[in-house]
Amino acid sequence: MLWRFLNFSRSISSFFESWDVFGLVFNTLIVFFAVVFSSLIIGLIISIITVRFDFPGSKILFTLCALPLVIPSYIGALTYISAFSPKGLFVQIFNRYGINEIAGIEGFLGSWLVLTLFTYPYVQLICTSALRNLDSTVEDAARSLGVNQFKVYTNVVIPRLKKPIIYSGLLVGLYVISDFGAVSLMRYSTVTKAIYAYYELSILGDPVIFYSSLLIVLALIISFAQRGSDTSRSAKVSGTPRIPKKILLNGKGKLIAYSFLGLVVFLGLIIPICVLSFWLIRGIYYGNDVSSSIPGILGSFTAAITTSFFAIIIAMPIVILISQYKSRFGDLLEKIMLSLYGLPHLAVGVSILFISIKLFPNIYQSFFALVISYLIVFLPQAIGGGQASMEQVKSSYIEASLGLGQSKIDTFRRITFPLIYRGLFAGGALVFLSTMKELPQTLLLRPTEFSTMAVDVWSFASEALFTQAAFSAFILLAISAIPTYILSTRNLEV
Amino acid sequence: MVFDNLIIRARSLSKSYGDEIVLEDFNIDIWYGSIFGILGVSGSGKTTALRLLAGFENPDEGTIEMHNKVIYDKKINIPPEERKIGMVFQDYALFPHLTVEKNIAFGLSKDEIKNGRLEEIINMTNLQPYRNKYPQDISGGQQQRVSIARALAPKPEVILLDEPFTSLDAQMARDLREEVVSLLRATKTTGIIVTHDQEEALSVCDIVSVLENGKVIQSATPQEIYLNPISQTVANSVGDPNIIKGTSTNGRVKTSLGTFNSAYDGDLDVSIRPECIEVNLDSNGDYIVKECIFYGHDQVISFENKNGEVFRARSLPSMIFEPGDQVCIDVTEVTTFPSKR
Repeated sequence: MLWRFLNFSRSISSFFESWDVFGLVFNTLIVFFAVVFSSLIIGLIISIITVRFDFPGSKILFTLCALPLVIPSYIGALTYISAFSPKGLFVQIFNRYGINEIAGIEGFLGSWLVLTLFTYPYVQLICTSALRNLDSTVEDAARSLGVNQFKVYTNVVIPRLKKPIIYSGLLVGLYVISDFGAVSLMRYSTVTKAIYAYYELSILGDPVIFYSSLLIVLALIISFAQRGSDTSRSAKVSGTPRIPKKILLNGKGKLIAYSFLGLVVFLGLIIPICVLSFWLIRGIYYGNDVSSSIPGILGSFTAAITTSFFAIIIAMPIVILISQYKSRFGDLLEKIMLSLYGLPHLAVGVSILFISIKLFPNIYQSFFALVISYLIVFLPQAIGGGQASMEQVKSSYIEASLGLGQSKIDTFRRITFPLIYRGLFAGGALVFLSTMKELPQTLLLRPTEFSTMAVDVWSFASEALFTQAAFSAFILLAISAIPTYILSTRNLEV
Repeated sequence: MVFDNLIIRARSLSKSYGDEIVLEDFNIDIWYGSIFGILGVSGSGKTTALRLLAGFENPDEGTIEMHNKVIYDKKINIPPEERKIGMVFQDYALFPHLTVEKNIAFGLSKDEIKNGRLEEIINMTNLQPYRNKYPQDISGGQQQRVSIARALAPKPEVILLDEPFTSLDAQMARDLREEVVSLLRATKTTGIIVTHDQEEALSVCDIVSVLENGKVIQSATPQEIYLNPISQTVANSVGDPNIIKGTSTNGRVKTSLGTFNSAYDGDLDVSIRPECIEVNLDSNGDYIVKECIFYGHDQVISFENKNGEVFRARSLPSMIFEPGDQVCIDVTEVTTFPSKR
């Protein structure tokens, strides 16, 4: 990347003038800070309300609040742009009350709203598990020293959640700067949108390379900051943490809790689903041809199955290597895998495009190159799944098996594999889902005539053909909702 | 018990992790059919010794022989799965994805299972009611029983037990200990128990090796170790003696508790076990009771002399002592070691 960047540095001065570098970077950073800020506020409030207070339905509301996580940003953007464009659905419905046109949410406002709605669940989930494990004796101590109930949160609880807050905030930030689907449909010019626009002009033109490098630099800075956020060591209290008793909400408290959580669920879940259902039904009513969606559906499944299969095959030895050579080689492998995780998909797509055109012309626009590029970004998910289960394979199990006369191969077959295969397959399932939802890499690298549901949804939506987009979007949502729901609720119970 | 066959002979084993020497010139001879104890505080290298014997780790130097055949030296290294040495782990290491029965059957061949070995070992260890449960669904004591059954099932010649009873409560540990010993005796399996618990080592083992800083400092029968410890460390590791400094001249050493015979001359540590001091009420006695802790089966009396030095004695529960009582003492046995400088 650096080499490429330097290669183009001679014409860098002209970049800044003609390619609006400052404007794009400014737009990207503004939406970055805005979304991180609003996601943190929403996510934290949900965590605190549901962990520390007791009211009927808190569990189900918590789950509903977490669900927008499964909605890909481009589907979220599709629903919002189609509902709240100047003459969109909202205007059509409220026409009879004399509303003929609204300002519309294209641009920054829409991007901010949509990205916030589909990223705050990261904060919610991460901060909730941290909050649940927080020993409350420190809070009791603060109360006994005369700090009131509200100030305990601002002075004690939130400072102690500093680590998860920074961590989840940066996770959201990484998501925001890498996002392509929402900003492109909202027609908000950020770095990612510029990369694609320039790509359409000239596949590997200088601006494409420049902005991809810039994107990677931004992403790396955020990832490093995220890992650096590990430094705030909270003092460990010996003994088991004391979990505070939930406070029962009174009438006024319930009203506040319900209206806040209700509003979040309404915006993040009900609006997208209703709008999508509306387009779907209208499409069916007008007799849209569903068969045009079939190649995309087949394409999605082919890509997702192939990628998850190879992800599992490749992850297995890596997982075992990482656990066995914990010291040097394993550490290195782990670091490489971690750094892959934060790479913006669009930039990875450009890199693979670059490599395939310049070095391996045979694989340019091949299915193979597409799968490779999926694997680069999604392999860490498969490895993560395997690693989680590898942790339960204690070294003494292996030794016990060897001590009972089993060979190394038999030990793998009878102990290691049965213990890790579920985790690996769960990781593989995640890769399957992620591949299915993936948009930017697919757009750049797909073979001609090859399409996926994500590509279909995005292309139809960007041409405002919402009824056509709705069918694929619905299937995509249904497929990703079920397992993600299971995974997320299982997480919550830990 | 008479033992006449060596099963394991380890010579000058050493092992270091980086700069840290864990084992140094470690030698042991283990008799076939015996129960051998390796006693030491944590960090003394006892678990490492066990792992070297099992073959999970390789010594930096030294040789290990089994039945007079080398299983480890510079050229030969028999892998753990071929050593016929079973191991019982401190954390049990039961396979979580297999039932109790499948765990026990793990090291058995199909033929052995068909010939009833599995049933035999399950009955022997009274695990019948638990055979279809998973390890995580049974109590710690039962888990340890399963882990012992699993190790015994393939009829290994030697079983290594790494702190096998430390994670259990005291009563459970005592019961299981007796059970394990009788199982080992009944199956004529040689057992090597690593422990930091002196009571365990002394009550169970035929021979005990006391390990300190990676070196064996004494190997002998429990009685020998207890009555004739060769160093103060050994004396301290079995029992809780009073240590008094003194200087010996002409084979006699004068201490605050009396004058005793000594094999050495010069500066000495005199070690007197609490149970070797008899305490009697005596209004003319030289000592005053400070504290008396009553345990039921016995009691420990702390008393001081005129210089304020405090000693401990152990006596039968029948006599009643109160703080402030004047007492006289009678020392029945002492051990002396040259002072460490």
